[in-house]
Amino acid sequence: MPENMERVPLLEIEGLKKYYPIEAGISKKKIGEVKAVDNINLTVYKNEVLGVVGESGCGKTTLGRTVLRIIEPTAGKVKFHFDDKEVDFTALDKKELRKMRRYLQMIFQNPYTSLNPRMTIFDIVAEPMRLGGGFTEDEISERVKTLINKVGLEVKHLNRYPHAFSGGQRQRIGIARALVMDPKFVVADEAVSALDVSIQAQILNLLKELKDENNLTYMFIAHNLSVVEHVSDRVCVMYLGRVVEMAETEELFYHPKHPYTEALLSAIPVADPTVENNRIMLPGEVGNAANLPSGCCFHPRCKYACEECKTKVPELRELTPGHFAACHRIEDLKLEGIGELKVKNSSKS
Amino acid sequence: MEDYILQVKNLKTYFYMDNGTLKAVDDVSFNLRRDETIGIIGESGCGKSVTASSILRIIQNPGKTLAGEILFDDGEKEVNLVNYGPDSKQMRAIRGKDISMIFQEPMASLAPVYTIGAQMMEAVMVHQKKKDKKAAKKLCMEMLEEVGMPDPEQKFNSYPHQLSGGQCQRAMIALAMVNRPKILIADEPTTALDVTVQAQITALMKKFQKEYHMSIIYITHDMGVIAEMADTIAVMYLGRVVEWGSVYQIFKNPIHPYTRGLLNSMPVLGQKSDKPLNAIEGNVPVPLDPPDECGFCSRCPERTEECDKSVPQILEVEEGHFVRCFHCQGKRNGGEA
Repeated sequence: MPENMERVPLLEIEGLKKYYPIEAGISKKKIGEVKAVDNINLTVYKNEVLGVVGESGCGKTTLGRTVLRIIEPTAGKVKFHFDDKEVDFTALDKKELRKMRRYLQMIFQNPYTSLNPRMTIFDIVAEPMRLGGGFTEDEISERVKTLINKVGLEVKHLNRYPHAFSGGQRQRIGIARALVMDPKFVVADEAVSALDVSIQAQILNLLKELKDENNLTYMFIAHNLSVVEHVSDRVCVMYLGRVVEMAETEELFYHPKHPYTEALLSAIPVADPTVENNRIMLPGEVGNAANLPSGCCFHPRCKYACEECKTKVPELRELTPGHFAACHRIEDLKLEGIGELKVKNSSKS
Repeated sequence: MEDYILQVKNLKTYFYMDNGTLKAVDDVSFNLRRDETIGIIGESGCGKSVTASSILRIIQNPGKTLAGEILFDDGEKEVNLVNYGPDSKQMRAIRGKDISMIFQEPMASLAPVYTIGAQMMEAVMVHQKKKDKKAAKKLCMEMLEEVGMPDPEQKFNSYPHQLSGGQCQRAMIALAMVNRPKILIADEPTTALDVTVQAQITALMKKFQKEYHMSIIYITHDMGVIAEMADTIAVMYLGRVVEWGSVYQIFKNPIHPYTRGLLNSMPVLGQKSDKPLNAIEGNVPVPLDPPDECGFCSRCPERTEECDKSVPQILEVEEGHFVRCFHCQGKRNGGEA
């Protein structure tokens, strides 16, 4: 986001939770809970791209979906600001929700499963307008044609079915569908991870172009940190359902404050054979969300863990303006960002 | 005379479909030295996995390896694998013993109805002609421990669905390594895994390479992983190797427009800018009855008339650096076009 612009909150997420019950036996007795998203507080500002990163099972997709109420949250509020009004998105009933949907849209991960194979491209892109109601067929046809050109496809493609398109083209169709109602906020859930590198770049460029043109705000969910760094203004790192760190992109990548962020950054392979990687090898794998480790859920893999970490859950604290982290030992740790982790090794080349 | 363990020469694997001939691997050549890693990179559909399957002779109908040589030097004599039938005794003796493979999706490529232990035992009993089950089991347990499997005793009796993705990949590696292969083919071994687990698995493969002196064919589309793993790299596009050279030559002095396009289209960590990425225009075509032209010409920014008329030969532009492009001349020694 340009610095001279004032930050206007678009979306305020307060105490958002999504717990899935674990049931056993015929009586479906509840024997436990999977805390997919556990008490998340964050604000998305107008016109920014908020990157959400984390490994599989960290709850980033569930977060994106509960925000849009594709999955109903267990608890928490999502406040949506627009036209000087504040709407509590979580309190809307079905009818009101349908009306509001047009402002909050989603681009899905897998372009091969997120398009109905029996619908033509025209019908797929037009569906949100038909569901939203209030448009004549002429208006719909006009809008769909404009959109399909904008995403780099041609009007002649509209009568074909999804199977006739490649992965990259399908993702363009998915983007057209998300944007057809002129939304304010778009959740892009791993929108480029199923695509090849050369196609991925095309789609990233397209997303940026459309954002600038239509004043969009994105929540960009991905596991690829290089991609997230490229597109995001701010980045939020998740681990086992919780936000462990959040900051402006550059600040987070160069001055991480959470050990998990540090390890994640060091694990990224660098496409440069002359770069020596001081890799921090995390032992084990991501913990079990149904049986969270005590205290800080990262402590079993953390090389800095102390006694306190095993018992007390760390709060997300604001360290410097805009930089949040949840770790007991922030003050006494000196963590390395990508500046120090990836060192050019001159002797090797 | 270089000490090559594997030489692939002009390999052609075509798939005969109802609607035409799919030239999945078309005239591919590369060499693999002992103790070295060759990386094969390219986008989906470029033929990198089919190349690997061709080496192991596990191409299924309607595919057929119809030309070329795969010369494998097992230390005593050199054999041409193309001469062996896919089901022949000789091929079976090599597959899983001298050359073994790790597959892309660890969850899907282990047999779901056998325990990890049973699958490993089978590999040992068949190839090492062990009669003694106890000794075989001991070998398997050692291997599981070596790949860093947590609680190996219990995991030996577990079924694949009881393991996580990372553990499955470790089991897969244990299975591939248990017979101490001379060549390990790894087909996108970490693509389905998280970055922190990917780091563990690549480190493990490097450790084994050092310990057991094996050569690795590492197939991936991830330029980052390949820069860390490989000694030499073959870049594939539409069934052909378009550029082949050392890891430094490919990353520091890429010559083929496709290689340069690939490297430029990735967002690079620590180099954030507001400029759009240099994407390669267009889509990868399907090599179904491909016309006689350079496969990349439809997307190439440097296309000329020549490119539409015939397939360029792969030429050596500097020592050990081969490029298949009409316009590669004059670009050696770091010259940017």
